[in-house]
Amino acid sequence: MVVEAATRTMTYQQAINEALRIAMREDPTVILMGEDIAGGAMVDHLINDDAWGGPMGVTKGLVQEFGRNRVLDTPITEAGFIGAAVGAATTGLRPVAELMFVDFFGCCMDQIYDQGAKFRYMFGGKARCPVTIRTQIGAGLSAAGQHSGCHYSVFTHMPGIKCVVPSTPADAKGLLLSAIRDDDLVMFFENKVLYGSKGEVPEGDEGIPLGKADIKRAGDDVTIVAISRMVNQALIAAETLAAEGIEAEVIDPRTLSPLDDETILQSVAKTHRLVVVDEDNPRCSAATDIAALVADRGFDTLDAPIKLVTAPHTPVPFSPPLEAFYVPSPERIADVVREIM
Amino acid sequence: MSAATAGAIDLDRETLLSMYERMVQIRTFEDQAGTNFAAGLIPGFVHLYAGEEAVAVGICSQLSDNDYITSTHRGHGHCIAKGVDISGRVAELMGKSTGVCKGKGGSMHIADVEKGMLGANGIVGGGIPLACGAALTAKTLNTGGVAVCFFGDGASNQGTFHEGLNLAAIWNLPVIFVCENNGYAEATPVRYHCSASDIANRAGSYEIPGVVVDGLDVFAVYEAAREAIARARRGDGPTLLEAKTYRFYGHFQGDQVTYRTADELDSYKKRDAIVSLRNALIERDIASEEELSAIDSRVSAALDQSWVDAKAAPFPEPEETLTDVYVSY
Amino acid sequence: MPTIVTMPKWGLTMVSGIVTGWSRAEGESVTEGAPLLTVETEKAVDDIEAPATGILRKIVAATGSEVPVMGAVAIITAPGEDLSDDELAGLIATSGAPGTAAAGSTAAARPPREGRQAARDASGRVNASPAARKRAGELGVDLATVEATGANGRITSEDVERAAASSVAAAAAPRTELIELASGVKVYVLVAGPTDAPETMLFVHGLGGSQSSWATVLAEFAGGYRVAAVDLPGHGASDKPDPASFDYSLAELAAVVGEVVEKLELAPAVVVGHSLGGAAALQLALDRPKLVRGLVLVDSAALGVEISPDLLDRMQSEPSREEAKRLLELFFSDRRYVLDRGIDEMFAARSAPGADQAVKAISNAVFSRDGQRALLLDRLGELQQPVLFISGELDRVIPARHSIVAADSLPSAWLEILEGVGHVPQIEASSSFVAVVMRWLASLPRS
Repeated sequence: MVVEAATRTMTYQQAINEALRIAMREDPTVILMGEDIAGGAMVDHLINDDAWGGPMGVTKGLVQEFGRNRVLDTPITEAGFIGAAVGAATTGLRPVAELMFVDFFGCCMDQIYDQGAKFRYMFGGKARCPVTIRTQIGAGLSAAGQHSGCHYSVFTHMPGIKCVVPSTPADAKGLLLSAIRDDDLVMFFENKVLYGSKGEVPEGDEGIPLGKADIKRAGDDVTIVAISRMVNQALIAAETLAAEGIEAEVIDPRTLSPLDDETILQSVAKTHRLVVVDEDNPRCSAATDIAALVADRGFDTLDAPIKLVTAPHTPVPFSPPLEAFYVPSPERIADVVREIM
Repeated sequence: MSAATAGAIDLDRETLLSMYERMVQIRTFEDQAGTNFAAGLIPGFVHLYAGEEAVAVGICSQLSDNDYITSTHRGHGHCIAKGVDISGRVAELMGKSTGVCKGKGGSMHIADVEKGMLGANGIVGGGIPLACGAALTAKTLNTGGVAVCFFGDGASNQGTFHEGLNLAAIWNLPVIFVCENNGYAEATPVRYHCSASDIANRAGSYEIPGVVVDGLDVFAVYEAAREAIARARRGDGPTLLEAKTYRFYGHFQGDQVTYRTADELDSYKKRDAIVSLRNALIERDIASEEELSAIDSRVSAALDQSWVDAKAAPFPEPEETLTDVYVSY
Repeated sequence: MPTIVTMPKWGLTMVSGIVTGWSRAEGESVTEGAPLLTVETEKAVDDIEAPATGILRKIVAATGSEVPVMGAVAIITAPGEDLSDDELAGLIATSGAPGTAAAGSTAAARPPREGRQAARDASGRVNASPAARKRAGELGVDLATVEATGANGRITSEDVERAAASSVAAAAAPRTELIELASGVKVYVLVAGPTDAPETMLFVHGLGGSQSSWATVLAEFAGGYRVAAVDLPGHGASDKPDPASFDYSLAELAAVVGEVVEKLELAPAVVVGHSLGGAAALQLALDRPKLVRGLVLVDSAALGVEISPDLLDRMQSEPSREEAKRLLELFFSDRRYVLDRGIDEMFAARSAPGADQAVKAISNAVFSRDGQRALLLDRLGELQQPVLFISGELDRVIPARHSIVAADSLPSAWLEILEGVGHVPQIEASSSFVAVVMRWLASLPRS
């Protein structure tokens, strides 16, 4: 029998902070690296204190417990320190590096993709790269074109990388613990709009396995697979639809690589309809990947075309009304569901 | 500070007053932006340039629309100094359809290619190779133009900095790399993040001139830039100019700035470049107190009106999201 | 909770019943199980018992009114329960349509989209979803016949399942047909029930009767079994060949029954025979055991010598309304079952061209003044099939004793004697009849 752990209400960012603290306590080889993850390095009055604890305060308080040798502020040199994290991971440390915004992946992609992600394969299985790269994703704060993307689809495309997209505080904690403990290169995508969202989070150090989807809402009429913050949008849409007699099943894949194919296929086999909601751009994306999965292996279970509700094929705009148009809304999701019922 | 200062002060009155006005414009713009950000009128992130005006103005006052600049996330000052329409900038900050980028770019991505302004930049070090490209254009097409690349102390650690300087050196590009060293990369002091005591020293590795200048002295900046620009226009290649400066606000609006002391801020405010210039102009009888105050008022009134106009302007239509991705598709 | 009393469905073909009397008045108390009203149908008059204890709050159907099956006839309220006229009207409105959701059901049902003809493209290909195509293949449904409810006129898998269910229902719905036998004689059969049922049943009526003799019970069996009821040659709507050209012997009648089992692909069938039909069923089981899975012999002939002389008189007499009435009085123990409508029907059947000759020919072949000619009691030991004997305790045509003796000689056989009932227990005690046959069917070893 499974004993349910006691829970407390906490925010998404507190849950991530707690997971980092647990991981650092249990394993002295876990180190944090990133730009201003403490902040104020070499400032006299901040020797054992942080100036920021990350730009959003997610890593706040960790330098006080673990010191500046394990909470490493870095220069703004993504290729340098992400690459160093990959190198350290390959040689005995278990770094958690922070790529402040995922949009910056262009500054360091070689180190992630051509190096860390390929070592094990190229070296004939004789290397491991237990690095976790935490990064912020998501539009909604008018952070404009270079600080608002999702881009997890790019990483999902690439073999050797695991991709985690938590939507709730509890998932963020459990999945981050598993990501850090995992021996492969893991990209951990934190949606900045969710940082303040609250939820029940279990006590203790239990991880949530990578590659296991979560059914956030059960229903028989349509399957909505939603990623990251879009899970919340889908759940709101599902309530609207329920009032109309349409019961949506909302599936949160939680990790895009590996992807829990079976949970999605089983749900569609039951509902015969699939809507994928994804804030990432729509071409060659997580959404098209999931659609292709069902078209390929679940074709005979479909009663309607697979529908995608995604961001448009544009960069993220700055102005609030444009950004609101860009991000899939509960209204758009509900409309698309109605269209295929 | 040096003989260069004495030279710059000999500029004609019109140029000097124009530089003063530009600096006041930047300061007023940034102070108003800070106020209006706090009032919730500006979405997203805002990084203010106040305190660093002498750098942008000391350099851009010697450029024409034929010359290019690249900028940073702290780009408002560069934009104004390069002559980008101020009303369009205010509207852009608010995300209005009348903004210079139709509300698509916002504070961090303000650009006006016609004015030779290749964009503020959300990527630290992102502008450095771009400036090399602009200089390559000028050289190839023989336009006589130069490219000025503004970046911060933090960017001097990026690979793009080193790759860009090397490229400019081997190709002898007409580019001036201007490092605005304000002491902090976000919340991290330069003494931690940078191995060099002077970033200008890094020029030595690429065998190009490296010059340190007081970024709070607009004449010093002007003089150093005059030589670097002349060198570039002559076809003698790039220069790395490090302007030691300071920002009066935090990294972004909302930054609690716990990493520096009030005393430190005060010591820099005492050396405020705008106050210094104003005093110099009065002391040397170039302009009266009243004349300068009239400039201040005119700038304020014009900017006030820009905010009024921007507030009244419409937001873009949501469908505008889908345009401008490609030239044709 | 108020209880709605509805018109029951007693016969397979019953669509309505006439209320012939109320034993309680509005406002009086009623007790669960006590007779509440009488209803007359084509075949019978019977009591409807109160389904609940309480107050007869409202009589919806006054005496003399005709009420469709499942229509409300009355409302009983629990003691102390008060209902406004509006609430009563609401209750009455919600009754009637089988499958109507109970009032106050919770979650909003998904709004049904109206079915329409499926869209087709220029090549004529029907717009059907992948799941619909797969399901259609599995269920053998022709997509061209399926109504579409999906967006853009698309057939969904649910549409296919609905179509398949309705075609199963259509197959299960009663239908009649004329089967041409090898002799050229056409016999009339009523067929009903699911085609994939675990057992098939063929019902064979008695002398002078027809498949309608089973009307009161056939619906119950058709709910779970594939059933057929035949009109023997010379009876009902079947051909009535001249005795000069057709052998009306028991052996021949048994052969006819066997041919029907084969033609309807019922083999092996549970053959249920009443009176003369019982004798024919038994003969068939002995002659062609592979066609018969089991026997239900109801007040069956051929199990003993005695036969009512009155019956023979009625058979030999010229058809008249009076004769028909006497015959029914002989059959039923409870005279309420002797209805004018039944008399008219019996008279009309006997008056049909060739009917009287046929009945007389069979009567002469099977019975005599000395008793039954066809006796199969001694051959019961040869039977390989399970047997259920049923008799009305008060049968004046063929004594119940025949069934008792027969059952005694067959240790594995079941015996049911229905108290107070005459020669036609399937009408006079239809629910008991159904119950015992169902129990016996359930006990059959799996085929």
